[in-house]
Amino acid sequence: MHIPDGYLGPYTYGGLWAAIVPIWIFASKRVQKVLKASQIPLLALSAAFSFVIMMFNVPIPGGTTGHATGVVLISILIGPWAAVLAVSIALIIQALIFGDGGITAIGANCFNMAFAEALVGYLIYKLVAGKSGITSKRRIIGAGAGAYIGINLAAFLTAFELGIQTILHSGTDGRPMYSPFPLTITIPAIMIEHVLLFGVLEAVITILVLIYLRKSHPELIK
Amino acid sequence: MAIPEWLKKQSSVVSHQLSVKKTKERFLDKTLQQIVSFTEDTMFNDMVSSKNGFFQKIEPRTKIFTILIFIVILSLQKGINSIAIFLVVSLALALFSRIPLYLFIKRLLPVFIFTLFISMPATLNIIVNGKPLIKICALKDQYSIGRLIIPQEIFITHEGVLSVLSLLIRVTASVSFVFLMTFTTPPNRFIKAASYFMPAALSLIVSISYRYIFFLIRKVEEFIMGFKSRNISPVFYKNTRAGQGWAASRMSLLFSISLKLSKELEQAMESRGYTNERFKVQDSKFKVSGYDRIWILFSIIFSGVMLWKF
Repeated sequence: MHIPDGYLGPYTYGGLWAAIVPIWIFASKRVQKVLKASQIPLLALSAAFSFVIMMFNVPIPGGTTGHATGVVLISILIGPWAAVLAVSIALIIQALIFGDGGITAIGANCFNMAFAEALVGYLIYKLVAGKSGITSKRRIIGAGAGAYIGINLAAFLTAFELGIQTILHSGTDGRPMYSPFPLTITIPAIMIEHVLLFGVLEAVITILVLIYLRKSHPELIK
Repeated sequence: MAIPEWLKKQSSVVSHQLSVKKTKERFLDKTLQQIVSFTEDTMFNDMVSSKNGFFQKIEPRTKIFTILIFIVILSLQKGINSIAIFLVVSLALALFSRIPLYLFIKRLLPVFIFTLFISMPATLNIIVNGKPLIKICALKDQYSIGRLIIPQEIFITHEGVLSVLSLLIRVTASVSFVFLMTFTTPPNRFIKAASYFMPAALSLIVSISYRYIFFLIRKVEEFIMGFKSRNISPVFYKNTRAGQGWAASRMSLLFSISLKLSKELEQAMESRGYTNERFKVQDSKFKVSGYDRIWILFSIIFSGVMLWKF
C-alpha cells in the first residue's frame, strides 16, 4: 500500500501534501500545545514500533504470509492524533532512509494510512466499544471492526488516487503519464485482496494483540 | 558400534511432518529475511558513505535539497527521453560516487521488477488503446466485465508500451535518486541535515525513532531465534491460528517494551533538563566546498534545462 514515486502526478501528490501538512500541525497541537519533552520519547518509540510491526510476517490460511500495518492498533493504544504523528514518522523514515514508498508520495501515504486509517479505525472502535470496561467483548469487536474498515479505507483511497491518474494526466497522444490503470481496474484489483485477506489479517492481529495486552498489561489499554 | 536397525528405517510420518513444518514456518523465515535485508541496507550504506566519491563530498543539506528538487522536476516530465535522462544522470552520479554499479542496480531491481510486473497489462489495448504493435489473440466476441470492456482483438499497443516504459523509468530514476542521497550520507549526518527541513521537535523524534528501530528489530530477531530453538514440534506449524497467536503475543510484548523504553528515555531527558528550545538537532556550520559549488552549478543548469524542456 506504500505508493512509490512516479505513480502519482503532481496534482494528486501536491494536493495530498497540502492536505497532510495542516493535519500534522493539528495533530501535534492535539497531542500537546507544542510537543513537550514527555511526548517526544512516546512518539519516537511508537514510530519505531510501527516501523517494526510492518516487518512482522504473519501466516495466512493457504500457506502464504502477509503483514499487518498495526495502524489502528497503535491508534487504540496511544490515541488517534498521537498515532497520526507516530505512523507518519515511520512512513517518512521508510521513504527517506530505506526508499520504501516515494518521497513525492509521502503526503499520499501518510494521508491514507497515518490519517484516514488511524482516525476512522479509532472512531469505529470508540463507536462500538462505547464506555464499556477493559474486559468487555465490545472493545474487542470494536477493535476488529475498526482495523478491518480502517485498512480497507486506506486501500480504497490508494486505489482511488492511482485510478484517477488516467483522468488527470494524459499525454498529447492520450497515453497515461503516471499510473496507467483506470478506476475500473485499480479499485477491484486492490480492494478484493484487502476485503478478503489483508483486512481480515489486520483485524485478527489487532484483536489478538489487544487480548494479550489485556491479560498481561491491562494498564496499557486506554 | 553398529547403528541399530530401527535408526536406519525412514519414517514417512516424520518426513511428512517436516514438510508441513517447512511450509508453515515460512512466516518466521520471511520476517528474518526482512531483518537481513534491513541489515544489508544499513551495511551497504556504511560501505558506500565511507568511500571517497563525488557525492560523498557534497554537503548533506545541499544534497538533500537538490535531490528533492530533481525528484519533483522528474515527476513533471512528460517525454520518455527526458525521463530517461534523469535515470542516466542518477547512474552516472552513482559511478562518480564510486558505488559498485552492480550493487546499486541490485538495490533498484525489486522496485523495477515490481513495477514491471504490475504495469505489464497496460501494454494491452484492454487498458491503453492505440496503434497496434503485436497481435496477441482474437476472441469470438467483445466481452465486458462490469465497466471493463475486453475487445474482440487483443494486441499490444504502441501507446501502451510507451506508457509502461515511462512509468518504469520514472519510478526507477526516482528510487535511484533517493538511494543515491541516502547511501552516500551516513544516517546520523543525514538525519541532522534533514532536520533543517522539518520542525525541531519532529527531527528529534525521527532521530530517536531511527536509533530505536535497530533495538526493536534486534528484539524481533531474538524472539524468532528463541522460538525456533525451542520448538521442533510440527503440530504448531500445522496451525495457522497458533502462528498468528504467537506473532500477536510477540507484538504485544514489543509494545510493552517500547512503552517501558519511552518512559526510561523520558526520565533520562527530564533528569538532564531538556526543554523544547534545546531540541534543535542540527549539523555543523554550513560550509560550501569546491565540490558543492560544482554540484550547485550543475543542479541549477540541469534543473533549468529540464524545466524549460517540460
